[in-house]
Amino acid sequence: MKKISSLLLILLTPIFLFSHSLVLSVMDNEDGTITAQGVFNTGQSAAGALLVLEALHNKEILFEKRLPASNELTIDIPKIPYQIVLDGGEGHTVIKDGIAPPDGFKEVKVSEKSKEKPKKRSRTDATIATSNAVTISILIAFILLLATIFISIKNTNKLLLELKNK
Amino acid sequence: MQESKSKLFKQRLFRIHIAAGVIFSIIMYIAIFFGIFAILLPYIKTWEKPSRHIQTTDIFNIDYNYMINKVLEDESFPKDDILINLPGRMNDPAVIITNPFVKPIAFNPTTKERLEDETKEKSHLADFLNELHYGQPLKLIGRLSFGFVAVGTLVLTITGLILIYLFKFANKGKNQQAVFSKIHVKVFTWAFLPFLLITLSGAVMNVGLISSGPISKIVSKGQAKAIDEVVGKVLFEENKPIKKLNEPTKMLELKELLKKASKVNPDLTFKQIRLKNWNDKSSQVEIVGYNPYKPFLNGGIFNRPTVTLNAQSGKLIKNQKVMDKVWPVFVAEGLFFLHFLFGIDIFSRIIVAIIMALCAIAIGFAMMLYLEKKAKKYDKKITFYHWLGKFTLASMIGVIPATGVLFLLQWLLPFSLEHRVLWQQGIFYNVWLFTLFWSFFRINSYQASKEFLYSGGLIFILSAFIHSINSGFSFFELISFNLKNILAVDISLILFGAILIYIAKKLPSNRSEAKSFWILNKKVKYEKNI
Repeated sequence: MKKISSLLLILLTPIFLFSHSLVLSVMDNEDGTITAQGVFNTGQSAAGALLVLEALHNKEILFEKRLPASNELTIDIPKIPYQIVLDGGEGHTVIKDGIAPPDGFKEVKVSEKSKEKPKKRSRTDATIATSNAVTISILIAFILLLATIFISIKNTNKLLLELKNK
Repeated sequence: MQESKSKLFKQRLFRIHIAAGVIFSIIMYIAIFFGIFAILLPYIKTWEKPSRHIQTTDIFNIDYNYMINKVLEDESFPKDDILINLPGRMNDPAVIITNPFVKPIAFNPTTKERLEDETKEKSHLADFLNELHYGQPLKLIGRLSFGFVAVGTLVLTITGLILIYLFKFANKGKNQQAVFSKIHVKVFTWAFLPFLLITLSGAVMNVGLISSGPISKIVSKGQAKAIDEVVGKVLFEENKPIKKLNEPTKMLELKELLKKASKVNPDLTFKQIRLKNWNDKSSQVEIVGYNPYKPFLNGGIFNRPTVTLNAQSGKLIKNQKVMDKVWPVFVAEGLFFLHFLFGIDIFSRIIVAIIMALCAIAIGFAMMLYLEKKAKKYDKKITFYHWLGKFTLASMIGVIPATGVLFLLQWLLPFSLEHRVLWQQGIFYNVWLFTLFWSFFRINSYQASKEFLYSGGLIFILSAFIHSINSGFSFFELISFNLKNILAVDISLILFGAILIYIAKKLPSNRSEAKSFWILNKKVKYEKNI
């Protein structure tokens, strides 16, 4: 039964086994340090992936290092609120909230500038795409579709008229 | 009573085959059409990039160590798990140094110069053709639709085979419909097996996407969300890290290590080198190869035979052969091999491409047979002007000039142009859409199809010449610099274009001509036989 189910699973294995997902585990060593470990969910090594500790209030980079062959790094816990980012490239970035130090996070003074509410996006700001190539292509596509409908109606009427005159 | 039941069964089976065929054939045709380009992907990839217009050299004669040292000068480049793709891997003439988490760095194997590698924003032709093959431009919806079409094609193949067995087609009819039917039946009688196997593996890849998640959850009792977590450890060997000794040591020349590896396992064609703990006393090199004598079982994703050597003494650490893996790996590898044709030479690739092209033509004839039957109902009453006919025409024939435009623009658009790939793809989609407009514009579909084939042929031929002008490599220079693979793509484009023009010239230009076109040829043949 086990053999049948494993064969079934393998037969259902999709192409993206090529691009398996990255798993980030963070452990509190309870001595003011954390150990972050990154591996692929297939058990393969993630050596070389960039591990970043980022301050929550201003995105300042507090720590940055690539994972060594052991796939894990032990880091001193920052005193301010932070998040742990494991950058595995396009579509493979894993983010986790940072573990607090034994005596908790220090309060962070947020500058007036960062307190300002982000400008509300208006409907008039909307664009079809960031590139002119996409915008123009979509416009032409719509024109072509309309032209196709128009010409189809015109030709159908022409044929019906021919039929009537027969 | 028994006879009428059997007749009813045959009728129903035939109707299922026709209904499923009409639903699935257009997408299936598109998947096969772009699949043929995907079969030749390694060659197109070399043709499309200016940085790959370089001579390649013997892999045993390249100064890899110099290139690695250059890369490691960059502090941000990972120091562990460095991968070196050898020239010839996926037909790439360059040496690529990479790690799964950084942008690959390419080197000219002869001059040792760093190449300005084109990003996917600058050049994406071969990969885009491959994406069109499996519906990726429409993301999940596209992949699922193409996957279900592959499943539908399995239904069509099975019902088709039963029909061939039950009906015992005589293939002797002399009218247009009989000829279409004959071509459809004959091609699939001979080509159904490779077609079925390739389609089956395609269905697994695309539809596996939705089915793998729930099954993984059930089997692992809720622990695994994706199939990777369940089967990954069986299929992929866990590479345990080697403990670093932190003693800097001089490494042996990689080309010498490659020579040693080739003595250890002479059956292997080497493709990649993995460096572990490079420059440390504990360093190892894992040389990955492909054994062409055991196709289907290695060289792809799950089974890569390797020779692992000590990087400072060259001593053999491990020689992992093709047959050393467990059977589930062979099942998975065989399944993927069927679709990706890993490491297969150009002649076998061309044979597969021809078989698939014949299948595409057979699908086209089946669609024509269905439309012809529909058109016959209106014969002598009104000209047949049906949306399905026009849509099929644009999808199946209109795709040819549109694809030609992709090739033409690859070397026509300047590489410095901003959003170059987006312009190229946008124009491609619009040309394809224009063929839909033109199909409706021309009441006579025969004329429209001739125009598509003529223009497609001209564009394909032109793209080879534009490449020759804008790449700075004339056909003669490609010969003298020994850039045979690039020249082969140019020649193929010209040949394909010429074939399209020939077909356009030969095809009938209206319905009445078409009726006699197929029969006339038959009569001539008949007279010759007499």
